[in-house]
Amino acid sequence: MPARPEDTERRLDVIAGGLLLVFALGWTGAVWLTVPEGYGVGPRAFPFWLGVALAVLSALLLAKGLRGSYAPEAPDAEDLPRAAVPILLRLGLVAAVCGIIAGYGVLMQKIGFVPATVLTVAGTLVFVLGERRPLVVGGMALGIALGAWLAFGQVLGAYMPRGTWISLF
Amino acid sequence: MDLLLAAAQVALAPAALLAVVAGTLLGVVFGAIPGLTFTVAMALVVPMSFSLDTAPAIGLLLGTYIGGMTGGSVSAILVGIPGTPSAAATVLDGYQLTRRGKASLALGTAVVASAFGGIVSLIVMVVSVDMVAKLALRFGPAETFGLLLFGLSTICGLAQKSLVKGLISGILGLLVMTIGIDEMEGVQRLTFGTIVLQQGVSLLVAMIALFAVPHVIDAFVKYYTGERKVEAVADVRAELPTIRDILRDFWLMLRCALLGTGIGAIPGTGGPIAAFLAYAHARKSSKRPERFGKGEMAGVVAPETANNAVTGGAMIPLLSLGIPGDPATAILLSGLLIHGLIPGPMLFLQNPGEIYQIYLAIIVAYIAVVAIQLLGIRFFVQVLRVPAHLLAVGIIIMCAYGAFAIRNSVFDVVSVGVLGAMAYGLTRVGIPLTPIILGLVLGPSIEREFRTAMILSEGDPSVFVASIPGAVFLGLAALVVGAQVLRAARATLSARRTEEKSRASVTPSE
Amino acid sequence: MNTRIFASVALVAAMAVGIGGQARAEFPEKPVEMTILFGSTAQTIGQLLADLMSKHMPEPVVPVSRPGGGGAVGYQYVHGMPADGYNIVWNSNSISTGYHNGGIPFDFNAFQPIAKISVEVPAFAVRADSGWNSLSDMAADIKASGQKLKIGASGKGSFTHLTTEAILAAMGLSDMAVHVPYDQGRAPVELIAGRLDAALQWPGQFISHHEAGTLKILCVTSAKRISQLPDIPTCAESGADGMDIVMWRGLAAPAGTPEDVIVKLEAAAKAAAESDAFKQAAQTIGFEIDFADHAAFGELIARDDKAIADLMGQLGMKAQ
Repeated sequence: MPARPEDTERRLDVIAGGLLLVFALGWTGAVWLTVPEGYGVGPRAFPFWLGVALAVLSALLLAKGLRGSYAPEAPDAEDLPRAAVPILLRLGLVAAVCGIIAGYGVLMQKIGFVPATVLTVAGTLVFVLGERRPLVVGGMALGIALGAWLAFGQVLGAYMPRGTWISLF
Repeated sequence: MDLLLAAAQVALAPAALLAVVAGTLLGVVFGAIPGLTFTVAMALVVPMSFSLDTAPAIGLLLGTYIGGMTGGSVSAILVGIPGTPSAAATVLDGYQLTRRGKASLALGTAVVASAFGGIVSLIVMVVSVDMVAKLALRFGPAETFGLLLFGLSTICGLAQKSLVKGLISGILGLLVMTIGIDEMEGVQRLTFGTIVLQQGVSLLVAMIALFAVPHVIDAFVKYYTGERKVEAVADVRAELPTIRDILRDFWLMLRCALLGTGIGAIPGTGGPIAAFLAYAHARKSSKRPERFGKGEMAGVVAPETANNAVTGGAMIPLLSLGIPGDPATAILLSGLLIHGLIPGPMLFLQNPGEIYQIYLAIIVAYIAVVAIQLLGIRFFVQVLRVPAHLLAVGIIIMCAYGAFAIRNSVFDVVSVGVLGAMAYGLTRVGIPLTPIILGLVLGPSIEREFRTAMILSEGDPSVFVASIPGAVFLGLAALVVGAQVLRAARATLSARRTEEKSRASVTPSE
Repeated sequence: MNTRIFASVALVAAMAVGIGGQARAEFPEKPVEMTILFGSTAQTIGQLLADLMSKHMPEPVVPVSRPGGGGAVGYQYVHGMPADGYNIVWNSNSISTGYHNGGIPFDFNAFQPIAKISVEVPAFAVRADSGWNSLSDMAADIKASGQKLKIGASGKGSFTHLTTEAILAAMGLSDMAVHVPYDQGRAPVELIAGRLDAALQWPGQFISHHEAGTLKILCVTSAKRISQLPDIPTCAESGADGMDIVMWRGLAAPAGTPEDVIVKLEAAAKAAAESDAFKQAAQTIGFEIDFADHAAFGELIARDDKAIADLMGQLGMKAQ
């Protein structure tokens, strides 16, 4: 029997409520232990009470997910039917995008804007999107890198990292 | 009158006009790219203005400011990623309009609304600068706190299906912004002894992470599951709004323009809160509130009018009191100072000619914005022809560089990746992202105003209701939250009843 | 196909290494990055200085803003860069305040001074209707009434806050005041609106209001009167004996930078600081040009660091 939408929603609420509750408790504890109280409404008050509020709200969400009731949802006419996506593929893509952005940032500082951009664009196209046409890969990599370098760095005068390991431009 | 004519001769000279137009173009480009906001653009322009005469220098800076404020809507509407925090509210309906094939119509309407808001705020400034400045003086920390809390209460309206999830989202935004150095006490909060965390999470970094990264991940997922053809249907005709379209929302635009001017005049507030309040107002006053969030033009008109009216509003305390309301006006202030114009009450007596030049430069800048954007629309919409997954690769580069350029910090780029992955997780479990933006925008100011008010009152909380504006805004905030909580509670009860009924009628099969 | 891509990438990388690995020519052979730690006027002055220095160097000086953590982020960036003169920092007393309050894990010795460029002098202002004409008036009034003085400055541990505390201590008012921290630019308005009794900020924020009579500048904290406000007495004249606190700004490079490189940068900085454009900017933005060579600057930093450490120690704000 296929999962009804309200059952999916219930399961997601349990997951979200649980994770956020753990986060909120950890946050509140860390604030209590590391931030000095200060005088009056000091530096601790806001992060602490916000953490408490988050804990209460996520507990509410968790409780609703565990015991609350879910009205059967009327299917939204404007929502297109979603294809089922394997969870591993989804997680892999999240990790890939996160890694690409972080890696690009580090690379930019180490080898300079243009080489880092060429590598990142080409790498993403080839390894994440499976693009194999050399014209598309090369054209996009060089086009984006040189275009941005020319427009921002040269015409508009924005600062572009030059690279601390090697410096090309 | 002679003074005005003399000012016009200076402000409308070819060099000055060119400077305004160049500044506006620069602003639009920077505004349209997330991370590269008008603040970054203005910081770049200041050194160029050193060697210019006063009129072109002021024109260049004002043009950049105004162009940047309107440019934010371009990416908000086209790809659903706001170029500036002020355009975050524009995403809600603007991006839906694009998905329904009305991108150019939305872009055209946005720029006309922007110019309208800007010009109205300029008129208010010219007519009543002294009066508004005096009113703004009455907004101390306690009153500003009330206003900000009222702004925060619009979260309830953005919460869509679940009030609890909307509130969680808003609080997450508030939480994130407490990381870093507490400027008031000089204390480190949750930096775990590291220097990188001392700079805290930049609002712009968080915004890019929230909007751009989930967009990119979604595009990649769709590429793999073969859903990509749906997006390709998007219509890229260059369809511009007619005068009649725009006049239909005239009164809404006027109200939002006045709202934006007022909020801009109060230091410590700014464009995003004006935009969200205007959006909430537009929905409340609409005949068909259920259409908001699904591509309603009024949902683009209201925030765009209001956030541009903030520019004129923010000029009031800047020129008449010498207070910059935000980083962008602070840069404008340095630009004025370096040309020997010291903002404050004496500016209007000592340099009336330059004041007129500023007014004229603002008008020219808005004319330039409308021209540039209306001409540019047919090029902007071409972005939609690019296959979504390839566009996503471009978005990664632009957003990562934009994040870097805010503070020239690699930490900020890495933060975009990490926070973005978390934001994607939140969307998967049904937690809306827009309230987070409100929390991010308002968090630092709310805390600062609250604590300052408590210090000034020596710990007496009655200060928040001691003045009329303070009490009114707090009351409004309480009203909004109370009504929503009540509605949510009622909905839960009726849901329980429906479920019990359906259980009773259907024979159990599990 | 992959091999083709890798080949081109490898070629690009090889080119880059080839260029980067050239034999070291005379300094400077590439642009010098000047890290700027703060926004607003500090940034504007830094950008102007970089612009003017570029005219006296074969390669440009590029101002790069790295704000955050009260200067900690930028100081750490420059500190972590090679000591070759291509990374310099537009520094200020913030190296001392930041180190002593625990925000920065290294002190001024991590940097080699290049040149002192300018000083900025805070001004002390009160409400126009206060009836006070000097710090002594104010102190006498406060002590007589027993009402606490609400005084606005930037956040705790900031330079303006330390200066207010020094003035209060000199006037015997340390226990009679409430420090209200404001972010930049708000304090003058709060003063005009009557929510504060006094405020300490940069003169530029007060001058127009002072001329309009909506507030009154009592004194400036330097030992000598400043050119922007020739008629305003110093705080020492106004009752705070021996008061001499100014915010210096200058340039520094990571410790260990070769002497000949320092001297070249110092010469460019001197030429920039003495240019007409810089003098004009000093008048309009509101700072005093006060050039000192790297040796004199070094002594000043050490002396000032000790004074700030003592002051913060007395206020119980010293972390290390």
